[in-house]
Amino acid sequence: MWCAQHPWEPAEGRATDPGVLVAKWLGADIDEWTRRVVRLTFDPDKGSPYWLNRRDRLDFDPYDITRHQDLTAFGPFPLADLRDVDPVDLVPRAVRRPLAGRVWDTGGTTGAPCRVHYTSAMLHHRAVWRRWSFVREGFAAGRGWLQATPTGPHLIGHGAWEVADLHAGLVYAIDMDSRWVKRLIREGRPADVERYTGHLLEQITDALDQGGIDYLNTTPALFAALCRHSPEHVAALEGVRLSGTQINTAMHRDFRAALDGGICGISYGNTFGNAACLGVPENGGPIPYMPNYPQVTMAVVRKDDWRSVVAPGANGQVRLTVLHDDLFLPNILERDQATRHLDAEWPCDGVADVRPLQIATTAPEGLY
Amino acid sequence: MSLGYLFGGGVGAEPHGIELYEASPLVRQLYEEISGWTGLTAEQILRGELPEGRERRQSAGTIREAALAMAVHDRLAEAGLRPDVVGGLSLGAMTASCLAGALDRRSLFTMLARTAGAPGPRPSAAGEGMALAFVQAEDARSSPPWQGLPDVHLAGDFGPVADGSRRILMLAGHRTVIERLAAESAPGTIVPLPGRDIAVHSPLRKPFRDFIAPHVARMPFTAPRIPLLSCLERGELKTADEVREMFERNPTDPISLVDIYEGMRSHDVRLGLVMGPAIPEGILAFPFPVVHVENPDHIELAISTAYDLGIPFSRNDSGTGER
Repeated sequence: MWCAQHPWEPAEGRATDPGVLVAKWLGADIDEWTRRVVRLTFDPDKGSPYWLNRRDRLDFDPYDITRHQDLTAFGPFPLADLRDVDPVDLVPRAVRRPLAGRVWDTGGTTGAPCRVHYTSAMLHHRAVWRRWSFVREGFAAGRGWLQATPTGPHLIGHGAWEVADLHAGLVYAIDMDSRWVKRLIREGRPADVERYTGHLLEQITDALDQGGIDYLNTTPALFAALCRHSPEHVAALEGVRLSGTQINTAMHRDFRAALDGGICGISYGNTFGNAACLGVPENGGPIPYMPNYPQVTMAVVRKDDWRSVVAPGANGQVRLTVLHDDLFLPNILERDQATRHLDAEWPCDGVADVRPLQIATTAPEGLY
Repeated sequence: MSLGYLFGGGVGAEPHGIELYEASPLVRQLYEEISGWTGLTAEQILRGELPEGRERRQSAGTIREAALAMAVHDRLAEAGLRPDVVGGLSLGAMTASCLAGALDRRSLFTMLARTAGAPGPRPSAAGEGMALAFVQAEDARSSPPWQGLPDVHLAGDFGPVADGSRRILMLAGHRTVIERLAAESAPGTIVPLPGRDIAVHSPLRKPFRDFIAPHVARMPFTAPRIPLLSCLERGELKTADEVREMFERNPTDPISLVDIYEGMRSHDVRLGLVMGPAIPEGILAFPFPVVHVENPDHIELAISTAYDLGIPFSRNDSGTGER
């Protein structure tokens, strides 16, 4: 349900010019934005039922939150709640009931998935950022795409709509069950992983053989497999857009070479929020990403102290905060680690060298 | 696009490998085999108090560390991962040699058990110790504060830290001199290593080298079946004699992690798996992603990361780990 009260939304309707919207968002004062979202969320009449229920258990008044950095007062967001509560209750009552639209999953490779509802405003926000990245990376509008990502409950699969609706694309698709891959890995079944990967690659090459596909949207892992399995199909592409699993500069260099001049665009994120890559360092350094500010902010914090932001260039756990008008999720401690990255173009911290979180022996004295 | 396995050095003073042992029949079988070769029970290898006596303690600690590294290797192999290139520091170099097919496992563990009989220091000898030296990265080649001190030796180079600001070196020598050096240096520059009372990788370890040399001379080395990187200089050990020479020199010669990971980079390693806890996570700057593997969760993370980074799973038995 589209809400006209969103301050960045022009009165004439749903704007899609990513340049205009992103420039406006990047100019937002994060403290003012924070105050507004917190007030919307905790509005006694129109706020989020989930948060209003939690309000009694807070040892502070949310209306006293005046700065973005004060959001640590909420503590780490309990992701288990997203497995149990009705996703509708996360959304402020200001959004008309009954809610219509999709509920999306995140996680679920081990244990039950977390679920959140995306209002149309949130979907629009995500799509505008993706289109902003497409344009910046050089993906032309009005082309043929193959979407080879998880679909179903996974928001990444919504990219097919984003390409079609906001980038005038004609989209083919195959399905990928990422949870099944992770399960096979967890169960130590490498032959089955290879077999399932082969099953996906057959579908991809079949679609590519039909012709009319310029760009591929998939995960780095699957694209690496495609490069090995069918380099001629990769070389014939005009570009690939990658997200969903980790990628580094060596892989990016390989992919660029395999594409033979084609575009290789990347982004980082999950169902809670995304970050755009402003460019891959030519010198081989870590790949940086900047969050879709101000609705999404990221910090890199110490693994043993989630409140402490590490120094620029230092490594730590990714802490993500969602500040949509329709969804407030402060201090999500991600299952990723990264180095803290600063960019003069961006009003908030970014992340670089992103990879799955690892907790292991860290004392230097353990070197010998 | 290669997968590299890195093996750390040092001894396992703390309990290691318990989770893997309890979770995996394969690992339990391995520990039973090692028990038969070394005379230590699986319980002693996993978590027993290390025995009294400098060399007996060192021997048991190395068996604990090597056993865990081998257990990690075997679990990864069971799940479909085998290294394309291996290298290790100190004890890790010997474990890597074994898993590269240059030495059978029984011979390695028999040798490690035998080191318990090495002569201890003379009662009158000065106490030994070790330290880490954190030097400014740009000063790595300038005169270090220990230069000219006859009783302190450069024993190792772990390379730059993750943010590139400093470089970590390892010193070995007389404990009192190292402690004095630490006290006279800027805070945090020289950090004595607690519980390390053997000046390994320095000339002070010559008596041990002489003790073990006859045994090493009889060990049945063969040419490695996969690339095996030396930790004593930059390069690959390609013949049985080269591996044997590395074993001989290992007690007294300085080691370099940089030589290993640069060698791996030249082999196009795209993912390094650090086997066991001997190289801490997040401290050092590796030229490729690394996953530290100590417990069952890390096994899954390693395999998942290999898949994510496009490392093909093993389809044959040409790899490592002859028993």
